Amino acid sequence: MAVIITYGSSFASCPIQAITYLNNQGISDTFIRGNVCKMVGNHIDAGTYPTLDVLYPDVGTSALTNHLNLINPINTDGAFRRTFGGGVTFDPILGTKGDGTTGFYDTKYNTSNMTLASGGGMIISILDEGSDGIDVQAYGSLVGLYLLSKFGGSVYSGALNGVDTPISNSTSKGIYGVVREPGNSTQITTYIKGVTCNSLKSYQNPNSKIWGMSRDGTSFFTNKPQGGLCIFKNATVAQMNTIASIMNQFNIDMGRI
Amino acid sequence: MIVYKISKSIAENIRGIEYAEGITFNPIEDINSNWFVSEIQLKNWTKNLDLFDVEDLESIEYEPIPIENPFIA
Repeated sequence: MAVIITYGSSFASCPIQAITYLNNQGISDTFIRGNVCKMVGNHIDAGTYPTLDVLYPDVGTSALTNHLNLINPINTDGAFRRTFGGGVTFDPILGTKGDGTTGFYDTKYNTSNMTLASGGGMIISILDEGSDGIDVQAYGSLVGLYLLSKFGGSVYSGALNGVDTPISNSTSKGIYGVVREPGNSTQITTYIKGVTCNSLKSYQNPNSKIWGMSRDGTSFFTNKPQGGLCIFKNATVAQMNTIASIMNQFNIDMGRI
Repeated sequence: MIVYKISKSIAENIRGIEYAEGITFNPIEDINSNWFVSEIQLKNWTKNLDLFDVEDLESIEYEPIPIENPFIA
């Protein structure tokens, strides 16, 4: 039976943005290509694509088939290709996963790109709770564990973490996001599968890099697998929710959740 | 979790070196001041690098350094 993929209502075929990424990453599997095409088409249709600076679909089977940024899929740090370190495994369905002790990636993204007045942030898909024992509620925001920053040397802290209020109704699996609402320089809103939790505190350091899958360079790593990361700016609250919904649907289509 | 102990000097030498295409060694220190690499790094080591002998490494149980609050700057 043929696999029928809808690319987004505005597209009779796969959007060129998706094709470029898939070709540059050497992704040939038709099932994966179709779902990436659909996801990108949905972002374009919904008007969220222009807000995205970074989108990693996590559909590769190795570091080199997983490192490019879909929004600008060229092999340079300036285009936010990510680099991997430590123990990381790659699977299009099971996700990109650290080993819980050493694995991380660096997006090269500097959060100074997110001005305080604009709506910026990140949304990540966590596919499984893993076995690292990291409790989401205990630490306020799971995103803080993943969207990590490194200040030169051994001091690590959050770019958009710093959240000190536990999120209610959270679990370790699902779509997570930490965002800065437009026009609000202090308030951070966390979205979990479309549920909005307000009044979380955070801060931003403009000189930091964002890390994924590790909290710091010495001991706090996680093995929760990831199925996609978006970094965006100048987005409305409605667009932030739409980004989360599209990425959630992408993971459903991929058979990840 | 079982990890593989290396010396501090080896850790400093291999940090940032690619052990496979697109991914680098990332040695970590545990609570007992042991430096180590994880099993996945050794298992997926495909690059021809004369850095250390895997057979000589002692396996130890990973004991992380506790962190009271991961969100404190």
